[in-house]
Amino acid sequence: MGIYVREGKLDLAIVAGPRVNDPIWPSVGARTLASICTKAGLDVGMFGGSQLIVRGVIALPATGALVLVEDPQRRIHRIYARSVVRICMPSFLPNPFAGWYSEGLLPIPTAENFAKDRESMASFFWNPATAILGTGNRGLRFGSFLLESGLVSAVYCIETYAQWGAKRFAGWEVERRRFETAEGKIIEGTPSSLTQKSPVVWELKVIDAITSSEITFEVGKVVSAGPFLEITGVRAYPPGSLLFELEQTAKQRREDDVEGWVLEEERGRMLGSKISRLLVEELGIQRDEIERLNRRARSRLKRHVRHLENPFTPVYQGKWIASEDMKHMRLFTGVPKNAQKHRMIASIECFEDIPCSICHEVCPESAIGYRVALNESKCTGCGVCVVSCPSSAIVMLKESDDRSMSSLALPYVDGPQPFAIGDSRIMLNRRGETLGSGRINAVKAVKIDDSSDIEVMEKKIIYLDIPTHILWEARGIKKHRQLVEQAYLSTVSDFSQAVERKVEVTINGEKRLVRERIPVSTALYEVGQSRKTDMLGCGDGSCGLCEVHVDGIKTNACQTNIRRGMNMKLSLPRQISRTHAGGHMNVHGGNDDVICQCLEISRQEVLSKLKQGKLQSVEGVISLTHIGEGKCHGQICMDALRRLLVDQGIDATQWIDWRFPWSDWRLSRS
Amino acid sequence: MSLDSDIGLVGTGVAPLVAARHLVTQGYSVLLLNPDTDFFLEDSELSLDPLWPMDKNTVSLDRLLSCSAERAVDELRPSFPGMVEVWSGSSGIAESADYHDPDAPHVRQRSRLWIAPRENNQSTNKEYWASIEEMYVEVFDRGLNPKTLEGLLAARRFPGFSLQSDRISQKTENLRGVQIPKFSDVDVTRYRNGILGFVRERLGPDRVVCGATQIEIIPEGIRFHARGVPRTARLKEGALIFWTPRLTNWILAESKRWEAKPVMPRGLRFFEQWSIMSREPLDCTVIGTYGDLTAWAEVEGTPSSEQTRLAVLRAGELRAVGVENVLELGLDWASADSFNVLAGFCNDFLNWERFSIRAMRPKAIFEWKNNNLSWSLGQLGQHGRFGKISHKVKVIGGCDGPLVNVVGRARAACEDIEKWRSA
Repeated sequence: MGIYVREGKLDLAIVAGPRVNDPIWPSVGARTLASICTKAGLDVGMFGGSQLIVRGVIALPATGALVLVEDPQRRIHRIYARSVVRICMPSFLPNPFAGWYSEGLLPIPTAENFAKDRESMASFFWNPATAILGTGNRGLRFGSFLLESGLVSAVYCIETYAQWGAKRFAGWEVERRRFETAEGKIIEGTPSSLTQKSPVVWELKVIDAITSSEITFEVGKVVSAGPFLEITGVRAYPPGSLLFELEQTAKQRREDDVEGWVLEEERGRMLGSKISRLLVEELGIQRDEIERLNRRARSRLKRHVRHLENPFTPVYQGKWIASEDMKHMRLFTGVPKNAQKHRMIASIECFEDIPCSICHEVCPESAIGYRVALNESKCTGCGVCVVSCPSSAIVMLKESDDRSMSSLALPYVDGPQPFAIGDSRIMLNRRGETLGSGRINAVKAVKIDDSSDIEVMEKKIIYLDIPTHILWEARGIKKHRQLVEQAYLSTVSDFSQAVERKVEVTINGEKRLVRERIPVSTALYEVGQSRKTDMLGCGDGSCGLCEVHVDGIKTNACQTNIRRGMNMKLSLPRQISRTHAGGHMNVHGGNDDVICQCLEISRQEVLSKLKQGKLQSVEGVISLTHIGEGKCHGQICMDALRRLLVDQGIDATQWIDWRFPWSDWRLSRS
Repeated sequence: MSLDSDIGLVGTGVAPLVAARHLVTQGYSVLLLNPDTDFFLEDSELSLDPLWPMDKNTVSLDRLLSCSAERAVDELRPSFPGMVEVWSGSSGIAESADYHDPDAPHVRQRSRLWIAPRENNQSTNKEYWASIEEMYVEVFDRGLNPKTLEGLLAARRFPGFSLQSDRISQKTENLRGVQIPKFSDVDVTRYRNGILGFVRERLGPDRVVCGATQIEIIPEGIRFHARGVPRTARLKEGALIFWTPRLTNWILAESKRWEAKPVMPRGLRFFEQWSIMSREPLDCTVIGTYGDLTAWAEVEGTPSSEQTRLAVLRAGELRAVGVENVLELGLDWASADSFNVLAGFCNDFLNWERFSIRAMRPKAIFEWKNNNLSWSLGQLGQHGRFGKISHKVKVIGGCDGPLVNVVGRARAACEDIEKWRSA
């Protein structure tokens, strides 16, 4: 019995890179790309997910590449492809700072997985506050989710203004308004240190970008929501080759991240048409169509970029939007002009040109045009668009000229906060500032027409009577502190009841109670015994960093579920064997200047080798410094290295890491 | 800025850099063109001579003697603009007790151990062992003190062999080995990057051109495109082209243009260099060969007692060199054969239950028939289809493979230039 290797040949192989996994795989970009190339007559294969683990790609000297894939039966599939597109996850980890590589920091995909798991000790996890490094759409959306669902009382998004500019994508202002309406705070600054104060509280120090003073936050967790470098979503390397990388920005459902979805789809179209033109000798009648697809995709992508140059940020006079900007908003095509005086009607308030069209698709009366043009005569105020909007940018209102109170309906996410008809609430403007108060007069659940294929989470609409003079300004409801504490305490008591559903396991000789059937990696976080190496939470074992011995067998913590009586041994952190000149040892024994944690290679070492060898390429730097040659295969360090090299003037933006394999590959005879 | 120079050098690896270093110190002005986006992307230099295939035609006594640490130091030190350290392998302390630069490229003295199973009726194995025995005799006569080893004694010397496993079996007892001391391996990365830094500093960014495309030998000199801009440089003395697989198409096209008959290599051999994680610390004093696999503890600088990365170099097929088979290049890498040979090596021979691959680097290296590795693309006064060439253009083969050989060849090519001048 040996190792079974099966040969194959394709025109195009679309492969899932590390951390690109179920349930997102295959993502919309991969599907679009495959569809275009298949229609053009190419043989296309898609490899990824938990069933077919891609071990890596070997670029060939002439053209094409070999793709090596392992199936669940441990058979290896070796496929020669004329062109390869690797789907990769964007970078989320920050530039190293003191204490960043610790249990206190999570990349955002890991944080989102934990936050979705409502049964976990989520409120302990995130409180007293959560800091999000990065102000991109994903970070802002995550912050809004934490605030709206009542999991945490304060969220800070931290990034310098220079980086904001790169994030001003379609939808950014909408997400920012939602975040600030929910009382999130955006801080312009750079993190300088993260230290643990207690088992569940961390101290994050940030240097304020404006005053250069140090601000200290006490947080439950820091979430890193990159990217922190402006980089194209489609890369080709080596130049002129048929080897590409496409960034996966879409999530599982379109409404979870509309602009990420649209971007990835358009990039997939652009790449698919490009590859078809390069590989198919005789396109025939399809040529025109493929050219058209390519042109359209490029022009749509340019629109995204143009959006950066024309953001809409209203000016405030105190707590009120300046009259010029308010006039501009009232003239927006999605905002009603007259009908709101007679009945409850939708007001669609995403004032920027963004690619989302969910409201247009879900409206049962077809009252919303493709470019968010509201047909007031058709709108019945059913509220379907209000609960469907993923960014909570739609409200309903009825304005009473002759009465002091008008009606406002807001989307509301079920959370641990109770509310009752007759309760009053403090109303907030779009920056989260208090404007006045309103009274809840109804709560209605909304049913979505079954013909729609968009799933809606369970949302309700909350109807409020509010003073007419704040009708066009109030867009959020403040949570009373008392209610948040009650919710927090109720989670504590829920937790006590949940103890009965837990099972006993042994971790490094200590008996602990953890929930049954959850991944070991989640359980370790819940009991406060997570390790730095668990941070990636790739979910498919591809990073190979979360190894744990379970009943004597080495396995990945993210791939193994808790069962009663498990005996787990966690590897202890390695002793730091050397210090680096110019660096500081942090309290966890880690050096804050270290870029490559696996091999303890510091930033200073890289810079001095760069200067000494006058290196001009990423390959040169890697071969000399050996960064990315440790256990993580560059999954933790490569993006920080890329940013460092770009800062030093080396063109690293198009570089693709084709080193093989892309994680430790364990083989044994079958 | 004028790029007119005495000598033009074209190449992608360490050879043109070594030549540039020597020529600059001799006072020549040099222009260095690299068609790749940076140096060493081909990674065609080896840290040691794989001595493959093991037969008397290809592995002569001279070739064995050329693998010694003394020869390595003799070849490498003159060409390197800094220190080259030597590790003797006995105590872990460098030979020189005065000053030791841990960051300098090292030449490590290690013994070579060939191991094969005793009872094997395959004729290839008999021939293989016969070659090793002949080598033993020749080396013994030379006073190099080879040893024969049997069974477990042979196996345990092999880097990575696991004694802790309960899988040691009769197969191990059937092994036989020959160990010859005082071979060597070198730090390729440190060496070539050291030279690169030096040459870049001395020549400046204008005269070290990476990403040079559409390179053309013209009667007065050389023409190329760099960053989309066409450039021409007059060459007073000549040009040296250091032939590695990457340049094959271009060299064959230029030789056709100038109606020169190229001296072709015997073939292109593909290698795979695997990096495998060992659970136990590895013996850094031995380089082992088992069949077509050569294995050693992967080290940079002075070895420590905790080395756990095992480098395994596997030689593949020898393929013909030509434009027509360019599409087949590299198709042998990571084949079924490779995986099974590797699995056999790790599971059956080293007695590992499983093995983890940390990295695999594919390489393609020319093999030459004899020592006549250079030929003229153009002679002074020669008429080509495009005019009379006014300088000498020589193509230098053997610019890939063991680093020691590459450096020696590049230096010899520079010495030839003196002969041109005096001729």
